[in-house]
Amino acid sequence: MASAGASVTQLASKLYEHCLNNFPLDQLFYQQDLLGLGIVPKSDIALLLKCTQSLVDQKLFRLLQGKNERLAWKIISREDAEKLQNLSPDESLVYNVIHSTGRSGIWVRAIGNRTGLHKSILDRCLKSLEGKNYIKSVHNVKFPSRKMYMLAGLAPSEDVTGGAWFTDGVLDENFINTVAGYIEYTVSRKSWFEVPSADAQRNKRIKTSDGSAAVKQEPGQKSYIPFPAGFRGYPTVAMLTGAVNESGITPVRLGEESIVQLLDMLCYDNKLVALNNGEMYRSVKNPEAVKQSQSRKSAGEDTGIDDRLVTNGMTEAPCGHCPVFKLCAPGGAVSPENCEYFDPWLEKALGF
Amino acid sequence: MTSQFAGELCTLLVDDNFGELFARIFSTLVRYDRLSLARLKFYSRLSNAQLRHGLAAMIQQHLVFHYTSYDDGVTYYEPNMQSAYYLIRSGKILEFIEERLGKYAATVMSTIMFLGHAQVAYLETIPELKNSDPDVNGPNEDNEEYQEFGEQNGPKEHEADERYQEPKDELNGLNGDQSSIGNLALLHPTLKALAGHGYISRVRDAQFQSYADNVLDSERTLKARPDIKALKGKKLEEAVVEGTLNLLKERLDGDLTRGLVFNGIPRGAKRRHTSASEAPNKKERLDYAAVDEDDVEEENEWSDDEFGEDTVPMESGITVRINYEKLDVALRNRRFLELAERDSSSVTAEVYECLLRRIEYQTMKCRDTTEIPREGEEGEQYSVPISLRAVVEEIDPLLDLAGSIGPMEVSQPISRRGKRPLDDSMNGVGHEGTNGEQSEGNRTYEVDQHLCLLAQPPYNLTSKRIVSGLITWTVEFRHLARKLRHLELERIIEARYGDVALRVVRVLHEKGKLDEKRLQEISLLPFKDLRQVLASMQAGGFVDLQEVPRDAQRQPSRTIFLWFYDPDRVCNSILEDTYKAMSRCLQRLRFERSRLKEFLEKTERSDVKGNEERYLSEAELALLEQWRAKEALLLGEVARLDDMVAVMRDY
Amino acid sequence: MSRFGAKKGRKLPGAEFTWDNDPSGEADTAPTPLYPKYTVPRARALTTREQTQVDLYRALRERFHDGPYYSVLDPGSSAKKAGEKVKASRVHFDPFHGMPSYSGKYQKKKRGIPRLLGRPYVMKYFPRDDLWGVIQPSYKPGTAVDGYVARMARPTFKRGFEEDEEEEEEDLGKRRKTGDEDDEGVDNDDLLEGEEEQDEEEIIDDDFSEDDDEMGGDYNAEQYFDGGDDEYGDDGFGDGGGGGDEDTY
Repeated sequence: MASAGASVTQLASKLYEHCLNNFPLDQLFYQQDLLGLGIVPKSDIALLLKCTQSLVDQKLFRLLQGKNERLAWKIISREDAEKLQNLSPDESLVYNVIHSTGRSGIWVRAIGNRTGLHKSILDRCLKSLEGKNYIKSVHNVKFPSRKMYMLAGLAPSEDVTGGAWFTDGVLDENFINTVAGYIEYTVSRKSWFEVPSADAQRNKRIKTSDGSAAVKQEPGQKSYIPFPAGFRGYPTVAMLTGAVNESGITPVRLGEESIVQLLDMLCYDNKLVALNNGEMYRSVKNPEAVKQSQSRKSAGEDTGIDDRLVTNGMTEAPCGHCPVFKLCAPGGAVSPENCEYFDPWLEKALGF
Repeated sequence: MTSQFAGELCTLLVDDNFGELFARIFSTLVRYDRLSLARLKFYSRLSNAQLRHGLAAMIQQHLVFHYTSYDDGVTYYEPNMQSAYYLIRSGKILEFIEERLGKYAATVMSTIMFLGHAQVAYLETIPELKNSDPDVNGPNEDNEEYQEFGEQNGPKEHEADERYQEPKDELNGLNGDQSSIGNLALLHPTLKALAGHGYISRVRDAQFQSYADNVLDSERTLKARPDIKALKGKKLEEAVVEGTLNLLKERLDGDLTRGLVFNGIPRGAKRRHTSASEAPNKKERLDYAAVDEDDVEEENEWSDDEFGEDTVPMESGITVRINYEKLDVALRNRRFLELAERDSSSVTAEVYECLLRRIEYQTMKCRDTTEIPREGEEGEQYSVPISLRAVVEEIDPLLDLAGSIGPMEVSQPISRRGKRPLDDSMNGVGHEGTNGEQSEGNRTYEVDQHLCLLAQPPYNLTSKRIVSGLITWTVEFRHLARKLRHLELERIIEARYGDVALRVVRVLHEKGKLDEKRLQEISLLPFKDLRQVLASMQAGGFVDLQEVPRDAQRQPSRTIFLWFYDPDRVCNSILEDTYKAMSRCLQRLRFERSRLKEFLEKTERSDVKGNEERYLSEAELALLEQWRAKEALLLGEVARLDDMVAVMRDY
Repeated sequence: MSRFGAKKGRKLPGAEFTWDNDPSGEADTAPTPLYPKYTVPRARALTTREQTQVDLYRALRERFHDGPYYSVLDPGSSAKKAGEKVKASRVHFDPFHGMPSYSGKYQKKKRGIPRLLGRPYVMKYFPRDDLWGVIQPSYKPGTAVDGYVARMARPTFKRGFEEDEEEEEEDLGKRRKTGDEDDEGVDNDDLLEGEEEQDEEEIIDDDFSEDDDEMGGDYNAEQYFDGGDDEYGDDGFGDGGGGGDEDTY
């Protein structure tokens, strides 16, 4: 019996070595796979099961349920196995549950459900695991109030963090604005052709269509003209990602998908235009205008509605925002005749 | 256009222009919709004389529809809301005509508006249109916009003067009456120009009936036809629907452009490029001639733009009226142009204007359907394709096309200071020189480049089509009309709820229905801001929330909440608000006038009017000035609101 | 600190949800003021083009106002009861402005009824029974007043489905019918018509004269209603409006 036991141990370690050396850590093995390796003689299923059980006991194998409820195993690295070997059964149970959720993390209550452990025991286990630095608590953007755990060595997935734009589960507005502003300016510099100053004069002689649209450039200012359609020199996502990462404005390296997120946002803001389905980006404003509007924003000046292009009849009529518009009727308590808003409105626009 | 606020607004406009009697009749009709004279008398509490004179005058002004029933012979009256509404657009229309065809044409237009409709023979007798007083055209000479007329009357233009003389002589032969001529020599060519552009149309009997009555009438006529009677079931239905539309079209059709448009250009059309340049006119003329000659060929007799060549007068029996449908097309093009002006150089905008003008000549109305279709149910509707060549012809030969588009190949545009090859040839050499040197092919290419720029996102103002090997350019009307509509809504949203809200709405508009989490991921907004902005927009009716319960209990915790933005719905409610806001401005204006009633009556006294300087004190003059500015601002505001109505309802 | 929309003078989006930022600045229990405080927007100054448009609108409107159609309602004219014999002008007499004064003769005169005469009309565009009489006072149904009217005396819309004879029959029947019913109204309308014609003929004398005052001076809107409404005004609303035209049948 002892020799049989020894041979099982030997066979098991041989099996483990082979798997470790020839397969990635997250390879899933079914019975057939392990038998197929030719290590267990005569495809003896009973023997194989003994070996795997021994490995599971040593925390070198993890028992899983694969497709169709079949048994399956995964290998565990030696270091991890050592950790696990030092754990109490409860702790080990908890660890495995947390491990199974990978980079998504798991809610404490869900651990409780899956392990069936009493809350006080569970708390003790988590405390101990956290103390050993095996697991860490993470903040999930979607469920900010839930206490969640994942293995200490893992980086939380985008689902959990919300992507590069979240810090500790909170949208990092300042960071977003800084990077967005940088991108807009960078794109705009590549979207407009700066007319050499000797030529700038000439623009003044361009006839305006109806006299109302006066020549925009003032002497001494840089003047910009658009590139022709089909121009290929607009920046791409890859170029912009590179530029942002080199600029030193971001402490972490941003991936292309994060930059795309930001570019989309800028498109929704009417600041950028995506060309060829996002292959390239063009800015709406020229660099000078971008600079101006950004400095205005940062100074927090209220040039207000005047400077925006958003005025129309409704936004500038006193009725447009009127808080009692719905109540207003001729002859009513609120009426155009006794309206208190028209006078200041007329005064504001006419200056008398 | 049958809502409460539209009715209120139209009544106010009728009141503002025609006084209380018309307004009383109109508002009674708005309230009861369809009344016989007797009922109208009962509800309006007006006397027979008031009513009958009022109704006759209102029919003349197209403010009232009438329909005489075949069954009982009773005539029913209905308000013509559309016509009443267009009163507010008169300023815009006249200004447009003035810009396009000159001051005299605008005077003719305003006279037709004043008369409601009029026979050409009667127009000949109107003093304003006969007046050869230099006042009518005089000021134009200072104004580049009106150069056209300056050219014809101004002393500096020898050549033009001679041309102008020519028809006069011929007309003399016709009617011999010196005194009645004056500018009457201009009347017929001007009417022809207006008719050729489609700005005026022929009056048809059916136009005095409401659309619904016309539909019923047409159906009845159709169903009485033996060939239709023979049909049954579905076939009958189809035949009636189709036949009705055809019959309606035929009965309402007042098109006068036939025979007045040549090669896609109406008689009397002017190219804007005769004006403003310092270049010698002789040369410019040569350029034209060259262009015209090889394009027009057989129809050389029409190739000249001036009125002078056309001496056949307008048929004097025709009754003409303003064609608002067509003018909406022209005004809509102006809005498209504004869109182009926002983000493009003035040169590109001018190229666009030339394309739009050619398109306008061949577009009768803004759309085929009476109502604007719902979003997503609207098909594409491309304008007529205009050949690149025609656009090139339309463009001022002196316009510098090259200087406003950057080079195709630039690795580092910012650091580059060198001049491009094209610039070298331009610099130092004057405009005229460049123009002369420039080959036509080059110019065609450049125009194409400008049009390509316009075709780009976000607006896609143009689109290119190759028609049997030739490059042509068109405009997708429905897409652009929708764009205008969205822009108006977005402006309101941004002004009311800030740019955060604008971003959220644009995300929702593009992605459809989204839950809060997904919305946040795309809009990158903190939850707090996002929720607040969504809630206040929901309160304002701009976004809506759909609840999708995941189980039968419909518990909030087991329910998915999806936000969405429905531009159609928002548009309809904003349209109502806009009518209401317009009414309020007009009502306020009336109130402001009543505050100054005594004073204003004084300024309107026949002795004071025109002699204000003599009769009024300093303070009174200042007050009058202030009043005029105030009135202008309020009316201007109403006009701006009307721009929105046009976008949401007419384009 | 939010970048978006956080401009001075404008509230943060959603700020209205916090109680301290109640727009009225009053406690929740206080009655809502009729006009809560609100910063009115600033309107852009009119552009040159807009100014031109406004001026053109005003010019056309003034032309309408000075034209023959602009009419006001006299407060005394329409709301009077039958048998109420008090002169409206006396009741509404304004001791301060009612007296004729020197400047009064320059005052803009207002019309009570649109003046239709003085320009040609295309008769077929108007409903014959109701309105031909006022457009062309010389028009008598069935008679050839002048070539044009006679030609147009027939129903104007060609109803493709009807035979011409049928049409005529129907018309005659209709005329007879309405004529019978409207006997009462006939005199009334007839009388009115007469007066209108008189007045209008007077006005025609200074046709095309730029100055309205003389014409307006002769013109007294009251007279219409003294003649019309006082005696016959409330003769029942049942009279077919078109009745007046049928008197010659």
